[in-house]
Amino acid sequence: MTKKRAVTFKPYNKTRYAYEKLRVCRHCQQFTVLWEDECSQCGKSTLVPVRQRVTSKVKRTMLNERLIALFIGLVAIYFGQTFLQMILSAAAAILLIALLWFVQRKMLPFEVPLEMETLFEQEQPRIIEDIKRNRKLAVAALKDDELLTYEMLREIATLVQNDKIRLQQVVLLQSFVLRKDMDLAIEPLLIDSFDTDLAAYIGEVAKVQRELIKNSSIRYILAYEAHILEMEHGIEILSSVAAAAIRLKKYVEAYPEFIRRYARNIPKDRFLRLYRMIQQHPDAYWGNLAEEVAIIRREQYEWDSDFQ
Amino acid sequence: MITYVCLGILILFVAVKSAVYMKHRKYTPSSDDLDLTLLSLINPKSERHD
Ligand SMILES: [Zn+2]
Repeated sequence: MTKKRAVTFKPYNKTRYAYEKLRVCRHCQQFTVLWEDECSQCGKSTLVPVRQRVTSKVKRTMLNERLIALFIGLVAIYFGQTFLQMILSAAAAILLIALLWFVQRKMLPFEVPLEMETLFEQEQPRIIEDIKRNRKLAVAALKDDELLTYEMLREIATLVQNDKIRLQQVVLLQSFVLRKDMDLAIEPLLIDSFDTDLAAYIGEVAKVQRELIKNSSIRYILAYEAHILEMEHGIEILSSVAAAAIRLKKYVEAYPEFIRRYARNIPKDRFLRLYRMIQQHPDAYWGNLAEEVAIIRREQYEWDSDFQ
Repeated sequence: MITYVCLGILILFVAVKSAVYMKHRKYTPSSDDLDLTLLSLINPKSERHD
């Protein structure tokens, strides 16, 4: 195994919705999910979020409608036979245009999402093509800068959701030293099938960021326990995940057998936490775990004052 | 005469446009819907586990 690199990730700006990552060039209409300032196609600084692009398009259409209404109104005034008729036509036209403008203003928040949906549907092939271009760019950077490739893939993966891109990220993450302060994730990287890199990655995250071990990661590890045991550091991975699961009582209650199997290998502070949890809740369902914990305590921590 | 025709057209134009906007309002997708649409367009089912 190659030596792991210490790196610092560029801050990842998590958006509430995935589509907020998508930007489009006002000049050449190319899409991108990366963070570049200038469009890679035309070189201009004209990249804007899709919503902004669509909003200005909808506003332009609305303006055009008001101009048409104005034109009809002017024709009505022009052909007025008396001065009074002209004044009344002008008043009617102003009123109607104002009404149209009022309705348009009220409907803008509904019109924009509808237009965005249409844009996504109409531009599907180009969006896919342009994201593929983003991905090629990321892979091309791999030779010189694995960190950059990872950061690019992480952005692309907000919109591209398949196992290949997940595993590409996992493999790259495995070439870095993982730390507590890193912006890591497990759930978005989980796949259905077994992968050694992914299992190793979960094992490492379980050590540095316990809070990321949730139901889905525990279930993944459990589903492929036999495969993981065949790995070189398999027991270490399983023990780290079991140790991390002790973070919350609900996980201990949900997976008592799993935790029992690796209770012997977990660090003392974690075992102490497990021991106290069981002591404090003697009526909860622990299965054989309570018994195993009592045995381990006797065998390994008999004279340890923390366990008194 | 033309004035009345024009005003009639203008009323009709504003009415039709307003009606279209009202109809759009009913079918407008939420942000969650938009996300789902975009993600399903980008990720065809057959490629999800590639
Ligand atoms: Zn451009």
